[in-house]
Amino acid sequence: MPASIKLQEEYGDKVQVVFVSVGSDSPDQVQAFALKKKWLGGRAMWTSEPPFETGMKTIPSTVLVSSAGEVLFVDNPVESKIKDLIDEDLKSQEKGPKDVPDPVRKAYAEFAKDSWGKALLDAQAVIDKPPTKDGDAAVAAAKAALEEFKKSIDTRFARVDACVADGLFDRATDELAAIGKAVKGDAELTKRHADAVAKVNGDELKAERDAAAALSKLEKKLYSNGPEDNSAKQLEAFADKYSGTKAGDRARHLASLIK
Amino acid sequence: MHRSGLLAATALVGVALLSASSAAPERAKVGKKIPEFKFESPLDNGLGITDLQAFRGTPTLFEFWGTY
Repeated sequence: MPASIKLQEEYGDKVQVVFVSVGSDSPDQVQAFALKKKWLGGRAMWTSEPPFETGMKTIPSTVLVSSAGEVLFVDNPVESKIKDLIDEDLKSQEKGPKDVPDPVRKAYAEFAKDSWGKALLDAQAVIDKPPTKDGDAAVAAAKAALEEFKKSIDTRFARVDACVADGLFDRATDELAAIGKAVKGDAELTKRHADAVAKVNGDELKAERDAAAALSKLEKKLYSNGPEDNSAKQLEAFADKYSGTKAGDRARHLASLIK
Repeated sequence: MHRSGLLAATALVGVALLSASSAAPERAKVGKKIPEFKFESPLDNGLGITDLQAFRGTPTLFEFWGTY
């Protein structure tokens, strides 16, 4: 477990770690256990619903899935092997998929480097001026690429909305900073990004933002030291003070996990 | 005779539907695409994710563990 927590920290948002708890514990019991172990507070996600069978008889067991959705590894955790496979997958992302024509592959490679504007332009250029050889196939691949890029971009903007909905303004700001770099060169996406920044920093969300900033300090201490004698009381006092905000709700929930 | 046959067939269809609705998740196999799956509850810390397909584009490590 700690190895996967470290892996998530090491790779940041290039990799996603999902912990799947097996057994009869409720999600709250699992969270309380993880909180005591100081495993919470990062980007790792948690669920008690196994999305697939591993066929393994012992835990911990791990399943690594590539960025293209292909299962790369099913076994007990072997950190070095997992890292090698992740690095290989990230490298192949940078090169673009093998089964598409070269001009479209270039667009995929740009997208993987988070140059969305350039990727969209490259794919559109293939559609506007198809290559003389196998032009139809290149246009079809470019159209599919555009659709995939747009879907991914929508997902990234939706993540910002989800952060705001959960009162996670630090993460929303991080997401927006990354999106801001990726949209350079595309006027439409730049405007979309600016609108999202304005919304996150707008007056309407000020109370939520202030509450989130205040809770962030308490959470950092809680996640790094684990629950202390006064943690539950502090969180409940916070929840009372910031009642009606997402951060207040989260503080109340954290307090309930500690009790 | 016909009626008992119909009842038996109805029962079989009922059992089949029940099995389908509570079907166990598929097995993950190396070299194969990840099975489709929708989570009943959004993942904790998951920013609203309820669908396995949401991880497309990012290498994802699933670790199965227990508190015992």
